[in-house]
Amino acid sequence: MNEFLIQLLHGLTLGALFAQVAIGYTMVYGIIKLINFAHSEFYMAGGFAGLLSLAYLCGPGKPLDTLPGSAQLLLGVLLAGLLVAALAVLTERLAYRPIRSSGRIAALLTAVGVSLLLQNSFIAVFGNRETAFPHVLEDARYPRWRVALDELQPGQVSEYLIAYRTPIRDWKGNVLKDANEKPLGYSHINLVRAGQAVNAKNLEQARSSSIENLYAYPAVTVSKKQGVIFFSLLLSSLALFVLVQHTRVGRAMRAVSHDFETASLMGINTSAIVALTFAVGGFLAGMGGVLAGGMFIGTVAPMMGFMLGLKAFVAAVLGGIGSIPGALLGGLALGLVEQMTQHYADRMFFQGASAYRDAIAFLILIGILLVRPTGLLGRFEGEKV
Amino acid sequence: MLEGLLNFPNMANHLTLIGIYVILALSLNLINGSLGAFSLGHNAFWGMGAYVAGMLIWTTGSPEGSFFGFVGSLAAAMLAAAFFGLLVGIPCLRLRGDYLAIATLGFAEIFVICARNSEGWTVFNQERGLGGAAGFSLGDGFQGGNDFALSMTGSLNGRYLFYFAFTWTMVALTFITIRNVLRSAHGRAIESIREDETAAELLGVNLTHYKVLAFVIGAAFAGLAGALFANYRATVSPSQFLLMEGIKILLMAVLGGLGSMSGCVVAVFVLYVSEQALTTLAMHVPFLSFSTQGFELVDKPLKDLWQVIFSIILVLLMLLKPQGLMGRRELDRKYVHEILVSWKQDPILPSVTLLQWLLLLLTLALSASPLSLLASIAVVVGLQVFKQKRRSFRVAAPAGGTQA
Repeated sequence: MNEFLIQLLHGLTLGALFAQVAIGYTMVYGIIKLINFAHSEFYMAGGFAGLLSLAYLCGPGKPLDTLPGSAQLLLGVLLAGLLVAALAVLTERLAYRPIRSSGRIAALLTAVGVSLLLQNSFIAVFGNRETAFPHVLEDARYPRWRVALDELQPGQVSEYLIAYRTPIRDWKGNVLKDANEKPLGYSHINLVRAGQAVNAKNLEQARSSSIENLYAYPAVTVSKKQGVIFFSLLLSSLALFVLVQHTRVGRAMRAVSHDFETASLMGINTSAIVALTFAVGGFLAGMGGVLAGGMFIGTVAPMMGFMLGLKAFVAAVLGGIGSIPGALLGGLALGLVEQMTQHYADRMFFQGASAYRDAIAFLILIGILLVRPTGLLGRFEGEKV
Repeated sequence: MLEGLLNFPNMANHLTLIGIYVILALSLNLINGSLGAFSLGHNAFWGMGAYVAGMLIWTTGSPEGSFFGFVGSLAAAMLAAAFFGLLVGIPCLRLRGDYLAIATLGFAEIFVICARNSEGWTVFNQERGLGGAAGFSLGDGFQGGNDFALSMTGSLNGRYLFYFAFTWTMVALTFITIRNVLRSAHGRAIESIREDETAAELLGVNLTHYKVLAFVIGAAFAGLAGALFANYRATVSPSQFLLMEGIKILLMAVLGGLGSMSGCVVAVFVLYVSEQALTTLAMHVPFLSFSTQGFELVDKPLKDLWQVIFSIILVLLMLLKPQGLMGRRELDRKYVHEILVSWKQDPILPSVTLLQWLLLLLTLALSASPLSLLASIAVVVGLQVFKQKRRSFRVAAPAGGTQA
């Protein structure tokens, strides 16, 4: 029960991230019928925007150093969202608008090109490596876990997740330090997973490590990080729902998505609506980037958008591309499937099966495209001859 | 710098790789250009060929190698890639446009993921499976690293020469085969699908049959390129066949002009040479880098400059010249004739183009410093600006030339 519940929570958190990015794919596709490959790079750019704004505004000795962690995080998320929204609008204006009339294949290729351009520009500046994210929210330490660790036998199921932590270094190998000469943050390696049988080798390593390098989380709790990610998805999808269903702009967006040309004949400024769509999608992706970089992974990297972007796209197709509730549903479903595969596949099929979890998403994609191209919640649109 | 470019093994090496890329671009051009199906997964067929050929040599090869082993690996790779193409093509080709692109991309990603996790496939090798993320070396199986070409010619230079000659023979074979297919009734049917699927179907073209046919032929030749690549490089690893490589091949096909075979060949040369030039140039350019101390200028090679320029080329190409260098034209007698006619009318523009290319190639081949390369690039860009000015002047002039 415990084990399954934990995996469910992890899966839903992962799914919330997928959904956050998938909304952008689905909105853009709904309006201009373009698979915006660059969307995954908006997510990545969000991670870096959050990193830079936190480093330059909230770092040690910087103007907003004294703010509480959660306020800093909120500030980082908002700033990153706004910066990425601007980037998205700029991309639309410079790359997508000029070729809107020259066919879908040209548009698709441009999208691939823009995606590569953003990716490679970030690689050129930040290097093709992971940059540590300042840890804003830390989970509380649990003192009882150390006792439990001593009593644990190999093969037993642990009540705690016990992780080995190592100070985060920059790419030159120096430990990152704050003003008090303490490490700025840590990256974690899971030695003992909660709810899983303990491996003798990992147990040995956990016991032999010094106590200040070990960290533990109790088995079933919604950690702050997962709470934040969930809450942000809930809040942003609620805001999006209000925007799309209950405002004038939202009605215009729905009209443009329904029929681009007729909408423009009815006096809707379609270019502005498209730009707004990119801005909203970019804002959500940027938020997702900070949350993933800051909360989930702890580092940001120029290539971090690649796989997540593809999967978020799969989530959008799964839920029915063009449909916002579909993107939410598809994202959560895909997150669950992936987490369950990662956790249970080794035991159910064969040792090493969980390494193929990335392939699962693509199998789902191909399956959905072949069986039900409109996805779970999509509506069918006949092709006009 | 590239002073080594002109000596023999380097030149043969570059030309062999160019040949392999030409085969890839031609086979992708058949799918994307002639059939009009947008496939993003060509790297998977290439990789499939390389893995099958490499695996055959690895498991059954001998230190001295044999001609039949070599040719057999090529044939097996073609067959395997064609079969893989059939497997992917039958379900995927029911989709259209960007859905097809995404589905093929999905298959290609699955291929890469499987190759990365292939350590456990002990059917092929008790200890290492197919090598996983690190891949394998073709000579591992017989503790040699020796191969047929080396033992036949007896020297490394001979091996280079053999692969250069053999690859370009294969290029010619690919070119002629694909051209003949396109000129046959089958080819006309394939091209009619590109023009209008519904109209083609109404005229009695069996859509599924011809789509799958074109897809399988394209996949088979990509497999051939993969087998050549594996035999030549003597190593196979998943990192050689990533999505980025697939997009590079796509850019080659698009730059040449989708539907133009000779345009493809030209585009491969252009892109390969510019890639080499930019990679070399990037070795000497300090760049802005980010560390925890903030942004700083770092004096270390920026290997990814080429990638940045590459993506800029792709975007600009789509924005400015979506039909590619040659559109659907071929470099035939008529085209050459038109060029000659326009040359006679206005000899300045084409000769400036020629001058630009000569300058670039000469500096690449001879220059020993990044400064001279930069200078020559500046001159080339300047000449380009001059050409633009002159062109717009001619368009403005009422009695201007007839060249479009």
